[in-house]
Amino acid sequence: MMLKKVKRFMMTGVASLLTMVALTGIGPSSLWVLYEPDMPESLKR
Amino acid sequence: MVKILSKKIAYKLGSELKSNSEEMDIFVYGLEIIFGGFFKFLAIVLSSYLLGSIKTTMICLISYIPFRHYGGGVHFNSYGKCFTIGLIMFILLGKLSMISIELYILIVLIILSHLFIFYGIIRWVPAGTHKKQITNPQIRTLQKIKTFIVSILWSVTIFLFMFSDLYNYVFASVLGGFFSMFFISPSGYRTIHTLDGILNKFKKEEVV
Repeated sequence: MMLKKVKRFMMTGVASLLTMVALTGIGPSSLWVLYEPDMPESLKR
Repeated sequence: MVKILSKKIAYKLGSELKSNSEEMDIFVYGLEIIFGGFFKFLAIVLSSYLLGSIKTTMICLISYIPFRHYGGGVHFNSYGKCFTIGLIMFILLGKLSMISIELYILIVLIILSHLFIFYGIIRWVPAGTHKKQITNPQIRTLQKIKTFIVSILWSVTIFLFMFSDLYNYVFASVLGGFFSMFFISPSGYRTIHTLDGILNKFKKEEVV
């Protein structure tokens, strides 16, 4: 039970971190040096 | 490879957290940014270490990234091309920086690269792509200011290396800054699009 809670907490943390990284990708500064991935439609809005 | 790996991890994470498809796309995008940068950086560090040019390659890379970060510029349309060309370019620039050149040639290169970079900041920064364009005049001005601050820091670093008699590091910084602005300039766009076309041809021939 406890382990499940820790796992879920960690996964939520990873998901938040990924969302933060993705949000920096929509800013005016380019995170990529010679390639930029396709931005998801939900972030373009 | 980066896309496949990012998708696999993102879908695993998304299914555990019961995320919707939009959220999963955001996770994929975030992972692509992290993995893409990590693998490329790792490949450049390892290759330059094996070739004995890690210091100059890293100085070149450190001079290159901030200009591109704030100044924008051209991008390849696939990660594979970006990885290959980026790796070859930094290995060559790192090796080239190890060549001892005459002091007067180095001074001429410093002056020319400074002129090119200051002209580029006024004329081209921030340079967009079809995926991302900055049209807001206020944001454009802000990006120019940020890139100008980067160029001042770059100049100070060059002069510190110069007065410490670290001429190879000066050369590496000059090359990093120059090539960074080159990929922000229209000539850089033309070069990358030409390379893109050539690499696409090879890919098609391979398939046939």
